[in-house]
Amino acid sequence: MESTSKKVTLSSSDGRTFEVEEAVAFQSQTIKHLYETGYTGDFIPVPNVTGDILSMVLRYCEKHVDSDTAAGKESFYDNKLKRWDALFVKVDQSTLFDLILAADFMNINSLMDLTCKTVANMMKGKTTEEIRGTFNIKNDYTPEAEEMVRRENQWAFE
Amino acid sequence: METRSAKRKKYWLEGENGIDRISDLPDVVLHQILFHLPIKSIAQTSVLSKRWRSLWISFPDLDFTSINPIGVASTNAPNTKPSVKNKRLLLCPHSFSVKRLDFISQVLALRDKQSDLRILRFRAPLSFSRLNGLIRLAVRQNVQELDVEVATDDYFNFPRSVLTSESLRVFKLRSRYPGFRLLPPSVMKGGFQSLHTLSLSLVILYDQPTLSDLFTDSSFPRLKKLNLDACFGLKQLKVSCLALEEFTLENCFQLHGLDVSGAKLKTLQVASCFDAYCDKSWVKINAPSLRVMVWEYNAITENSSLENLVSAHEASIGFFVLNEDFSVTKLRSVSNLLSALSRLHTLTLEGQCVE
Repeated sequence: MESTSKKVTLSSSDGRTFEVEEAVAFQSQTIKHLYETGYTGDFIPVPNVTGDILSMVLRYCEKHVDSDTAAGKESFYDNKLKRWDALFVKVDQSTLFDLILAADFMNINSLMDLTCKTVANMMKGKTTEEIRGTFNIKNDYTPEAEEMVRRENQWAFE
Repeated sequence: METRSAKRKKYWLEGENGIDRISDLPDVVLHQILFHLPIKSIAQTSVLSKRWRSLWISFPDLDFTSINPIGVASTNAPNTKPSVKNKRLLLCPHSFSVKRLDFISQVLALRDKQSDLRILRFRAPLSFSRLNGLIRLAVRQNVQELDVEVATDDYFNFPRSVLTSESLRVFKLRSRYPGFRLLPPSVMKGGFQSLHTLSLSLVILYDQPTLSDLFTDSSFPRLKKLNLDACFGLKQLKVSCLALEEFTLENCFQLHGLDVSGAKLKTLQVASCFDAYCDKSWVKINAPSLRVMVWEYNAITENSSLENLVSAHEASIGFFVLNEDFSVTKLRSVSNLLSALSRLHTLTLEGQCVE
């Protein structure tokens, strides 16, 4: 409960600053580790993440801090949080990938898991052509090379 | 809101602005995305583009258990006693097209030799030489976790390449049929230097009924978790690994003597063990950190000596009693066992318990 009083300031790659409670920022293992290894400043640069994305990430962290402290693991609250998560990742692809990169850089496991699962679900049950379409992946194989790769993984297409 | 989400949806489906952002994500991140897909779907992505092929051949976690050619449902049913007759019917390896399984070695052979393999899991009917080949390939790629369940056409020997692996942390070997033999003690000893989990099932030990100096510190200096199941012919077992925290022994029906000691042992589970017809059976346990003890469906041993169980917290005790055989020594043995556990918080006594 003491931690509620302590605040830290994060600054994004485009110079925007966000003041949040320590517990919120510490959802990021990278930031937590920084403090644990003796960092004393109250100003943390997050050089790889833009203000727009950082504010989303912090909104996510705030939500998940609340759920950790307030209601514990009650299933009603848990379901509610899952619904919140599901809405949270209903964003365009480019934002989703930015969130993944931010989660990776800031080392926020649950956000990484959530965003990666979302992308995986976009691939599930789709043909190669459909996946290329979904993500604009350019086929850089010659037809012969593509056939060869398909053959070396024949078992996966059976 | 309605229009916004509709717009969003359209945007989504068209894959915004024709830019391929996903392929630019770092390998580690893309691997984490692929990790959420079944292995076949992951392999299929290699056809997307050259970039994705390189992601596939460096993918570190190969879990083929979603493809289960052994075709028998659950593998984790330790309570059902192995009925060899049934297995023979279900698992005769020749009834499977062995050709289909070549893909696992193909996948391993195709892998990028620069990137280490983290996990390899598969269940398959295989020949012994093919199994050995697969494990050797995996060990050469510095595999950390090997989880293998096989049905073979004959008994096979414990795969030698596993012994010398410096990267292997977890090794699980389960034979469905007909079982495997351990290597001679002189060969087994001295390997396994980094292993912390070992699980063996259906081990044929008629030639080697005494395992008294295998599970020691010198062979398993880091072993934390040991699971032995269906060790046929095993009569005497001694386990004394210093680092061991969890030990499970099940379905060893010919066991006469069991000696378990370990300063860090927290959980001990022994079930369906001991030879009910042997009149010299004994058990000796010395585990000062033991918290949970499960002792179920075991024949009563003539002698029980439990020492130092000062941390025991929870126990479930039950016996398999043959023909109302309550000799005085057996009763004393049971009472020794129970009194050693006198500081428990929870004690569950299973049926057929003696007063």
